[in-house]
Amino acid sequence: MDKTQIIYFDNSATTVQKPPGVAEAIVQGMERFGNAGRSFYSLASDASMELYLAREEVARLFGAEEPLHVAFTSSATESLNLVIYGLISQTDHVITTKCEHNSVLRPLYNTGADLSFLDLDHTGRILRENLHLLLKENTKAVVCTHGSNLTGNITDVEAMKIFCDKHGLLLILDISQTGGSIPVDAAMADFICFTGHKGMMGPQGTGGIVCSGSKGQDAIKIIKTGGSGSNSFDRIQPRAMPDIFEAGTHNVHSLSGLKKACEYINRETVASIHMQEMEVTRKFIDGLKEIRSITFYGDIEETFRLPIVAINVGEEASEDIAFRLWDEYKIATRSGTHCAPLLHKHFETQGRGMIRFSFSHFNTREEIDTALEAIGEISCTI
Amino acid sequence: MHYIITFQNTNLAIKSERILLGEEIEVTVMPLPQKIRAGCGIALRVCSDAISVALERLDQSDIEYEAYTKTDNQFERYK
Repeated sequence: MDKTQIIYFDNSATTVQKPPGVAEAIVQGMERFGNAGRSFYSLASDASMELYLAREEVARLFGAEEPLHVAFTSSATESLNLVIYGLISQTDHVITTKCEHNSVLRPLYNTGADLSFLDLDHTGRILRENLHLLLKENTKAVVCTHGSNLTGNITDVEAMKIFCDKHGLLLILDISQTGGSIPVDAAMADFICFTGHKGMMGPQGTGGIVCSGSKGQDAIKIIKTGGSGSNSFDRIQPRAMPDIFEAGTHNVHSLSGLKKACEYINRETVASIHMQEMEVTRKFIDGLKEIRSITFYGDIEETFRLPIVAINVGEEASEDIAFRLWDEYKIATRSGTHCAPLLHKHFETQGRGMIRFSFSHFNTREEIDTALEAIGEISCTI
Repeated sequence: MHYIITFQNTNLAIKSERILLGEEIEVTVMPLPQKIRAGCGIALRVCSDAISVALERLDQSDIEYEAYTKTDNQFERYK
């Protein structure tokens, strides 16, 4: 199938179109890199330097002063697992939200910890003013998404951080949907978990953790242990960033691609990318308002939001509409429940799901026009 | 004559290489001498002309290191 004929609106799952040079960096890396951090000859030391430069570029994107405060993992899910299992035990109480993805929820459930969930308003916005109502003596952390993968609503993280600092709680932030799309600062939370292949426009299989402060770091239980390239006769993993989250051979080929993607974002600037993404998002929302039988989910009037629009058409099941968009128009979207079970329960859409359109820096106004026309035609036939 | 600089881990060795290269100080990545510390790892080699500037730059960056000289297969702590 000719990829140029496809209109791709599933960028919250993964971005398919990457910035120039990302794919080439991965291929070149496979042809020239030895094992990073393991030896001295040029193939290995070039790989080590590339890994360090990737940390530098991610640190620059997230305003972290120290590149070694960036640890690499395979995904945001792995990052969240490492941080949650490393910090939370069954005797702890944790505050989280009904917006969370299963990458947050399932590790939290698995710890056996006592969990409280911040409720949402009718647009799916987190009622963070209720934080104090959920506080308990043994509350250890707040774990929350920076932006919903379904509604596109952005969390007021600043208020969350103030609350956490006031009460001595750790703040663990999932920036899967916001990294590369809106400004993220390393100081926003104690642990920031990112993925490389969505808004950061790098390859799949890349992600990481940014941890700039010592809060929580000293007490964290290290989950992954193994080769670190140093202190080989010690029985324990070195206790310093990034080694507390890294063991074994890095995926340097892909991290070289992620570095290239971050260079692009840093050059273009996140603010400019967000503005461009919101231009097509706003056009899409405004166009949908003209079509009958559309139900929106999320705070669509808010200007500071993610380029994500979740809808349903009439009483149709989300998968039927998403399949027609693909089958008849070659428009790729995501139907179903988007691994956000509590959010679907909140909107009472467990039975039918939603159709999610998520845009990237590379989507165009022309593609939006085509999609609106397609949805208009479909809505006339149901 | 060359000096050998060792670090707590490979990440700090690479960070130091990056800093010193940025200052146009000639630096070579080399295997960590097992007589200094057994195990895997890498160290940096810097020539005598550049050692003072190199260590000053690492000090400015708050990087912990140990610097050695090597004579007759023996390592002597320089700093």
